[in-house]
Amino acid sequence: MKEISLEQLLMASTPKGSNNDWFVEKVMVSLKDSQSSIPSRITRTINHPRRKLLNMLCNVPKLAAILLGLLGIFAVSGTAFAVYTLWPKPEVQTNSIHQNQFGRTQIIASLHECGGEPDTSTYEIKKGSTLSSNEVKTILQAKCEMDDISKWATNSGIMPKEDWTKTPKLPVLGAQEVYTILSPVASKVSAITNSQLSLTGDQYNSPKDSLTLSPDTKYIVNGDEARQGDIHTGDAVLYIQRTTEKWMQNPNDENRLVSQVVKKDTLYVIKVDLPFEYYGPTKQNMIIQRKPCIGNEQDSCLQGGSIDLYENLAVLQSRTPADVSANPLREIQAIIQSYSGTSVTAKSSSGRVFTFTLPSNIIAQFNTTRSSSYNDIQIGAGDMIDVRYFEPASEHSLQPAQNNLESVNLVIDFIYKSDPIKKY
Amino acid sequence: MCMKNEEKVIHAILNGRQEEYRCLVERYHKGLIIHCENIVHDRHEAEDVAQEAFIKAYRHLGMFDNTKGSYSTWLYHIATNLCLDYLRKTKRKVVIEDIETMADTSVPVDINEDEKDAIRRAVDMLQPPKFGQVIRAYYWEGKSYEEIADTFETTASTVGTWIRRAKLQLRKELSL
Repeated sequence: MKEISLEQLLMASTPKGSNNDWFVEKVMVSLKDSQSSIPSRITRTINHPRRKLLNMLCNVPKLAAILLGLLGIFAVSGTAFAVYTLWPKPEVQTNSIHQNQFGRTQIIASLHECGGEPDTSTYEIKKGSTLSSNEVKTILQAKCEMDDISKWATNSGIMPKEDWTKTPKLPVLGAQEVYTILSPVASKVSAITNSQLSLTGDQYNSPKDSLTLSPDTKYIVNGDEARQGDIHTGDAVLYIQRTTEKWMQNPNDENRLVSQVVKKDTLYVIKVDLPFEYYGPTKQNMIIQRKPCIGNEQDSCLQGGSIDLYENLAVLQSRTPADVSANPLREIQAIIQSYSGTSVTAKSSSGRVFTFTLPSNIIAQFNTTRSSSYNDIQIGAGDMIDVRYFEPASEHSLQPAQNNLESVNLVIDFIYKSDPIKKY
Repeated sequence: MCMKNEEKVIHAILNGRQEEYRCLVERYHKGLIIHCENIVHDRHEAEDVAQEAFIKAYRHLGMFDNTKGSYSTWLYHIATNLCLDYLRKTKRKVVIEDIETMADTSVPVDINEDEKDAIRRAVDMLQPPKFGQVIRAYYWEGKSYEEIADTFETTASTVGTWIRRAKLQLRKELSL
């Protein structure tokens, strides 16, 4: 009995008649909904308002790089010899820029003082992006600077530390909630007075309202404390704002609460080094990170979106705790070389050629029955798939057993979530 | 809760009686939401992921082989993978082995009626009595912290504290 957790025991003891009917209904309605037949990996949206903001932050590609000393390609006039005391000035270096085997511009970059540990990472410029390879370094620099500022704000206690092990505080009718956030993207100062800061930018970084400044508002320039007079029209800034909200009844849904802003305090206005657009998703989403594939570290896998083509959920049934180490999950991304019926041959980034045998012709099935839901794309040779499978730890087969395949996805490429779906 | 034989329910669903799936959803949804909440640390996301897992399991029910394991173990693995995808998409650090192990340690278990009675009695004896009420609401009625907080006119974080304290008492009482 001791091997069973208390939560399992409590759940097993649920008395008859206890239920959460709304959830059951929701699932049953979804089954009848035609949308349920569309794989959700790329269609799921995040509705929780706070999570939306967090997601916006998180969707910025994880970047890395090192600045080429003081010879940045961007205008940092007046900052070159500044001493950053609140956070370290990040250093970004692009070690190599070349065209990879997928025909994309690939950048290997390393970074120091980029929100945390030193790192070396690989990035690709996305198809359809208007970036030059030189701009990638600037984008990485901007991301590092944001990471550093965010780390400083958290470590100095200005912003609360994210604790993923703790269940977030959830809304209660009538309760007030205070939260402090760092603006996820930079904006450009269009006007500043003693009491107001007006900002502008593009569709992603133009705050609807001006920020209210108070005598308590602090200003930071070049990573050090400054005065309001040091912030000028045209400067790119981030800001830290404390918002107080009150939870009210949603007039349209008695089961939901809505929040109403009571007040907003601007705690910090932080001038950043680069033009504002480099800190926003417009630029940041034009590159994508490549990371070692899970269980196939000699290959790299793009950290982006995909469409489910095949899932063998039955393979999960036979998984035991011992399988976690004995039969680990592996992931590989590879370009389809050829396919015939149920056999798909594909080449990975390291040049290895895998042959996957599937129980049905998933490519033909997609092309004939599902394509219309995905911008009419047709899958064929030259397209990239992401395959997950289980395999004995001691083996690295190029022909994973059919019954060990867990999923096959088509890797897709998009800069904005609203973009029409297109293949990698 | 639906008490029909699971094998027969699955057989009926595979023969076109979609409505029978309600039985499986009723049986497992509360635990599955809690399982997902433990991984993604967000109730709303956990509900979304759990819903997605039920739909996915339904769409692939033809693949389910009851000679290899229980439906619940399979469902929990599906949900765990979806949680993993969610964490990767949100770029949150995740140890895959830990999460896979978690799926195996939180799948529903079957215990005998005496054990169930002992646990229910222990819940009834929790002090103060509101601890028993929050345990019932969270684990048995599938309510979220915010819903429970609403009932008790307190904050969700207080509900979390009550549940943690109640579980400490239960562990002591049940010698776990």
